[in-house]
Amino acid sequence: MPTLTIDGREVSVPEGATVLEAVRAAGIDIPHLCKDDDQAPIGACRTCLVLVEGQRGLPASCYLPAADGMRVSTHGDALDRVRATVLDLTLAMLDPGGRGASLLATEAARFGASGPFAPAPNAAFDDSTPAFTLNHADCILCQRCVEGCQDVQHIGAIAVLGGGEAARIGTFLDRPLLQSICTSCGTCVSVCPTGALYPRVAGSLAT
Amino acid sequence: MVLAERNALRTDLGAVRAVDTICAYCGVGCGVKLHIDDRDRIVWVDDQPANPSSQGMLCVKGRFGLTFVNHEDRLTKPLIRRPSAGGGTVLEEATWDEALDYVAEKFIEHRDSFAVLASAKATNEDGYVLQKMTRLLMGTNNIDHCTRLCHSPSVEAMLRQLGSGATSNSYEDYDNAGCLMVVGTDTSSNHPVIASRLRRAIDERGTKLIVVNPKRIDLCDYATYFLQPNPGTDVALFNGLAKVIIDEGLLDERFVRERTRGFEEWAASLADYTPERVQEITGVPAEDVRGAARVYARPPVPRGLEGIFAEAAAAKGYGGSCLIWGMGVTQHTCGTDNAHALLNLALVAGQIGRPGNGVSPLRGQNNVQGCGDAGCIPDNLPGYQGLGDANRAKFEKAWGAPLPSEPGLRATEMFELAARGRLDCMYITGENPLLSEPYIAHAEEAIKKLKFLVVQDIFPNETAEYADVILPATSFAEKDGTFTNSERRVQRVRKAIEPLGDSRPDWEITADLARRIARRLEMPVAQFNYEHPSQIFAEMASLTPILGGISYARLEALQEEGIQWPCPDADHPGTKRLYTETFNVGPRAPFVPVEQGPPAAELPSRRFPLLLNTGRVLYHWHGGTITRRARTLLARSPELQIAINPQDAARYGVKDGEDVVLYSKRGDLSGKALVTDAVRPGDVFVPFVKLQEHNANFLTNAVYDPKSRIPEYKVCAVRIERAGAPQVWRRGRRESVGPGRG
Ligand code: SF4
Ligand code: SF4
Ligand code: FES
Repeated sequence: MPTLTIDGREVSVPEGATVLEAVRAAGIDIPHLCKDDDQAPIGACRTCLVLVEGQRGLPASCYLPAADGMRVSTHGDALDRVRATVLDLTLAMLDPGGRGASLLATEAARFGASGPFAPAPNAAFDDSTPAFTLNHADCILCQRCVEGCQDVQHIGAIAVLGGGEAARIGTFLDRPLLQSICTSCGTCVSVCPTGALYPRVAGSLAT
Repeated sequence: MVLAERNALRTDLGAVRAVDTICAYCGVGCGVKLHIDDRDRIVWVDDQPANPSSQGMLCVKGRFGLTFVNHEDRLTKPLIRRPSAGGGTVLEEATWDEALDYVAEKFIEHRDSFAVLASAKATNEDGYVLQKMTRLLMGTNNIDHCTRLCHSPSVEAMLRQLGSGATSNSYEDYDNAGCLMVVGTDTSSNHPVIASRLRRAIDERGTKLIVVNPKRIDLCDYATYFLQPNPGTDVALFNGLAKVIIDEGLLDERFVRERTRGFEEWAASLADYTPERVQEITGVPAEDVRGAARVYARPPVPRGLEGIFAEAAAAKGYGGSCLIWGMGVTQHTCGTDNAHALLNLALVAGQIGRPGNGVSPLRGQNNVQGCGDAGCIPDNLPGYQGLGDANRAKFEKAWGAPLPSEPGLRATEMFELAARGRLDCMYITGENPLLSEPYIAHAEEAIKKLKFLVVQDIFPNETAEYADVILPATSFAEKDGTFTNSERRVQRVRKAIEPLGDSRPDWEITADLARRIARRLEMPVAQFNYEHPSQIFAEMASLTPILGGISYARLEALQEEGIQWPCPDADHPGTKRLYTETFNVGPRAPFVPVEQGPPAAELPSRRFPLLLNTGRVLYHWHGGTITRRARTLLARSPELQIAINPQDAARYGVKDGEDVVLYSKRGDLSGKALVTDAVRPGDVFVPFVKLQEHNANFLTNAVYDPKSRIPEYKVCAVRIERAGAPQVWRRGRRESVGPGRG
């Protein structure tokens, strides 16, 4: 059981735990947008940054194994600034009037982000399945849906297509979800942190 | 970061609370978290990572299909059929007192000609009270449930060879197997979460998959061998696989010597089933028969094995094989023989009773295992305790009155007798035989002949149209109880919302009715004074050794873990796999020789040249009474698709997406053609869900396996025509000439 110091507080975590888990075990709330509680880390969002004494840079805590004697800070001038910037850049991916922005903005503000919102670069909207919609304007490309579809369900209907500005979640040959191998199992919907994948009202409400 | 937390309450969807319970669709038994809004509606369903059976997975039915609970069609008042002013009859709303007093009197009047259909969708507690009422008050063992229509051949064969009809292993054995042989099941449609686990094993562990199915299923993309036998030739195929294993010396000699009997005689019976001959009968290439047999008997050791699984593989030098099967094996006139052939194969290869192997008939309904466990079968008391004197005496002592010793009627026999006017009264709970029985028109005749019919359900259905009284039950979301899934895991079902309207949980309705019957018969009324399902479970556990150590207190303490029976006492951890040391039939399991007979009772003819195979689609549940009331599912799959091979489509002038009609000797149905090479030339496939008033069981044949009385749903002869095409067939003339042909 490694014991670490987090913001001056000592915590012990099980062998194999990550620093993010230690931070949360210490009762400290930091963002971790792409890390699903039950899945392996993806390391895509960089919002879980921490400062570790004796280590260079600001490592992503979801990926960092907790080691005995580690001294970790979740706050500090430089760290707070960088995290706010990362959150701002994340918010910049979202349509300012969209669901993702409204779900994330207040939370992000707690960490100093105010969000240079910009009109969404990719406003495509997939409503081909009756179960849920995929709104690219609400997507931050954290890839939790891709992980859910592949690592939880072993279906592999979706992936990140394209690169750079054009990167987006999509299906094989970029077909509408209904024409892909997607089974509408909804795992991607349940893990999406921004509501880019969102149950349709007819799907969630019976009447 | 609220949305980054797994399983956070979906306040954004209006949820005000969430309740952990179990999905009410299939026998996988996934954990679900129902998110409920302030008007008691299910607004979102989340998965339950702590549930060991589902491990955080769900399929579309569990995720988007449980909203049927709040559907406006729900029955909310008891209804009694009364003469109407203009002649005929109408169903009128009644109070519970009126309805139950009336039913009690009628049941007593027909006490000597009475039968019950229990529901595999209801809880263990519901089933237990129902069979108790039937045996104790109605004095008959005439109680059965839908397993007759799906796995009775498996149960029959497994009882004879192993001593229990239950799955021998756990889902975790699939995760740790070297070979998965999946027979006669479209697992991705029927048990989607098990299919996910199979794909995971294949992706991550290098597990080999053998698919045996007349139709190409989605899992075939992952298969090392895809064996596509002619319908109804499974016995030949499995005899052939066994023969290869023996001839090539791949049998588990020690297992055969120490744990089986009758090997010599059985092995001799296989003489004719050479791979070449099997190819002739089944159409499966001899090389594939050999290859599949080798992989099944000597599977590779999967990557990354740990613990007991690693030890088991190390001891043998090869991995374990799991044999998994569904209705494609059982719904034949030779269903029991098919199941014997499968079990023989598992025994000769020694692929049973060790970590990473085993035999699993995948159970269809969410609680079909539990319904049998609770005693809703005509030849056993709860916990598969026979009707012999000692067992009866135990129950008589606990229940305070004598019990019937004669085995009762099986479900299919109930309908045969009713059709002949020899059964007067039925109590049908949570079942819709007028969709699920083969050759529906015949079943309808039977139901019409009943003198008194009570239907207890959540939706009005085809059967209810003939009911004299309809009693509104609650759905799974409105009651406490337990379900037992396909791996024998007893799981806690928790009440999430208040009962809709005046509906009541099944156990409560039955117990109330039973008290009224008991009072009139001067029988022990107090036997039915239950206030909470935990009391029912405690009574059942006290009388049922396999459940003896399970209680609500223990289930609550274990949270989402559940307990796998047998669990004989309170310190017992439950049982992941049966038959590790011995079988329930004794130390040695017998081989049962079986011969390939005619493939089906009805074969293609000039008039009906195609073979119809029925099955399911992912988006619907069985007959569809429930899934047609889940909007997302209906929208995803609104009409019947009739799958036909491109060759036949060309031959009969049918185009993809076109409206077509299928005819059998017994009826017809309409749907949309789906031209696909997933079905073989000569076959058509229709899911047996009823959509737009059409259902495959209009066509299927009411012939039965003589041993288990299962109907032959899987094969019957049909003809396809474009909708609106003139009926050109006349006796002795050429058959259908579709307009598409020159
Ligand atoms: S609904 Fe299921 S199958 Fe479809 S993309 Fe999402 S996770 Fe994949
Ligand atoms: S796999 Fe079965 S139990 Fe699981 S969610 Fe789907 S229908 Fe429900
Ligand atoms: S949570 Fe660590 S990188 Fe996203």
